[in-house]
Amino acid sequence: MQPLLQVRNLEVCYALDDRRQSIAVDGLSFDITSGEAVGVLGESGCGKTTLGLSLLRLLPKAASVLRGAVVFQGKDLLTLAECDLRRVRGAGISMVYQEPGMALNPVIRVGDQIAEVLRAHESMSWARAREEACALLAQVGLATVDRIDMAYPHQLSGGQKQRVVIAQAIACHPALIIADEPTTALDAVTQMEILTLLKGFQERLRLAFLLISHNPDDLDHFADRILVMYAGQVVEEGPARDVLQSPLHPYTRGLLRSRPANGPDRNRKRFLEVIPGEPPDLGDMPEGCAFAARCPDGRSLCRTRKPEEVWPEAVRRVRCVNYAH
Amino acid sequence: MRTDLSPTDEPQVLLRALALCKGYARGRTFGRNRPSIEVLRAVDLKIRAGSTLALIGPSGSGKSTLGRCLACLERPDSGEILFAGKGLVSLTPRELIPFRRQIQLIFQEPAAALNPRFTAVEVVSEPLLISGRGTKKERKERAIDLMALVGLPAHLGDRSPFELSGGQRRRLVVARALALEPKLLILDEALAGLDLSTRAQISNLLLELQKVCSLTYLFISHDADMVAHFADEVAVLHEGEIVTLGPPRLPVCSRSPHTDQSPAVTAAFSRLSGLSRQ
Repeated sequence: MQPLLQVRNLEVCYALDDRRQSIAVDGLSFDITSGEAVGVLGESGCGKTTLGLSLLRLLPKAASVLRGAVVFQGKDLLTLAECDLRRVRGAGISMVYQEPGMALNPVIRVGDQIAEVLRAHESMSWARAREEACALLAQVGLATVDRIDMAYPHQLSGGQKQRVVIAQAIACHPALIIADEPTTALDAVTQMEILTLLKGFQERLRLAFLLISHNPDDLDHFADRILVMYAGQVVEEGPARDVLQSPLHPYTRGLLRSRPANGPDRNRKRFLEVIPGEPPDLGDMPEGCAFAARCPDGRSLCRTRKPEEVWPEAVRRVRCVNYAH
Repeated sequence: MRTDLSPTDEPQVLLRALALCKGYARGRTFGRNRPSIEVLRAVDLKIRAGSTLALIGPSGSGKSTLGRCLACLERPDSGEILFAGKGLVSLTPRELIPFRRQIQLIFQEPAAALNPRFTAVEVVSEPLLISGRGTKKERKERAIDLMALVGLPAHLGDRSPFELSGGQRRRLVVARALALEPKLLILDEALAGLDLSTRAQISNLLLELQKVCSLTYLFISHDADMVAHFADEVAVLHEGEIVTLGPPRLPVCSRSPHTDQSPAVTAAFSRLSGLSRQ
């Protein structure tokens, strides 16, 4: 079966000044099949957000795509004309951002903002679009809130705003939603409600998801497959359960171990295991493996040779010399 | 105020709040005062010296207001705060100064709590300057010692806070909070918004400092996993009232549905937030 989205050798860089540039996404390849939830896991600064933005060519001016292809339903989004791409944005692929407050226009009623999305993609009267907007607000669980379509964003809580953004995202029945840290700015209970809502849409509407997060707990129960990113590269990929329960790459292992233990054997008030140091500066990458300086299993070889991708199992890949034979 | 709670009765209690109430005025509409919003309703709590009390609750439950009241940044409408047995609420601003030094607050967003025109050393030595301690040279040396204590190398001292990474900025605000040798640190979402590995690093640092500097923490958070890891006692705040107070037996509001949870705390937290957990 043809995948819904194919990303091939995507390379994105930011210009730091006239001479130097930092590679934020470094030769990334992956597929998403329709209806599949793919999670992207990694720390801040590893290129997750840049990846999400580059798929729809929403990158800031300082960034540029150096090479690669993003094929969505047979079309390469990176070479598509701007007017054709506009039809894909919102209707084929839509986005949910980290800060719902920044994604909404503060001086337009939220009902109108959802209606706008509908009118941009479908020929529809304004009145009809407003009715649809109210129906969408009900679908995202805001039906009980009195006249919420007439509210301005500042009158809503963070969770409610995120639901409005989700209503916009599903308005035109996209095939794929890119959700960039959709719960980071919310409190714990609201986080779970939003993830449950998104998961419900994924299952009911057969939506594919690219869920970007720094928290493995968000991806557990949500993602079918997980890509672990470090310094702009996929260092590990596999089915969610395998990656979270038996991680291969030392970075994934370190990340998972740095959470407090759950369950009866938890070590209260003991020190947590940490990955020492910080991710490398993308403008000044080390010669060998990007993780070598922080890696507990690092060998001298790691500092000089860039690791190749290896596939220990048919559905799992990892970028680490310890698996190369 | 009640006098039966003198420090001799419970020498180990560092901070005690008694029936704290706080409301915010909502301004005037058509020349009339609108009724104020009750943020804290008769909050009672105590923190033992050297221990960590975690304060959790949904957004808007009054966690930060309680933290600010206890840090003497807000004056409660009624009630009393006893710090090492001394009542703080009726003190004048001048009388409060020695207590303010002993209670330090760390905010959620270090970027907003740091002056971009200062260097890291200036940030850490500012409290010393304000309280008139030492010469310029001594303050700088002390600032570098404090930075070393929180794991910041001395060569970062001349950088602006905005040339530091997120984790380094957190360390810097911790160093600043420690400058005046406080007894109590109020950590308002101090671990929120961090990556997992950085969160673990800062959490380890706070645990180590608690031992080394014999600090007492009020840990305000909505991260149930960290609360269960970090705290000796947990207080659940809902709509300005403490609804549960006790040891964190198990994850308070864990994301995974299958873990064995402390029923009272979970029920309180989930019932109050209107969320049913399967």
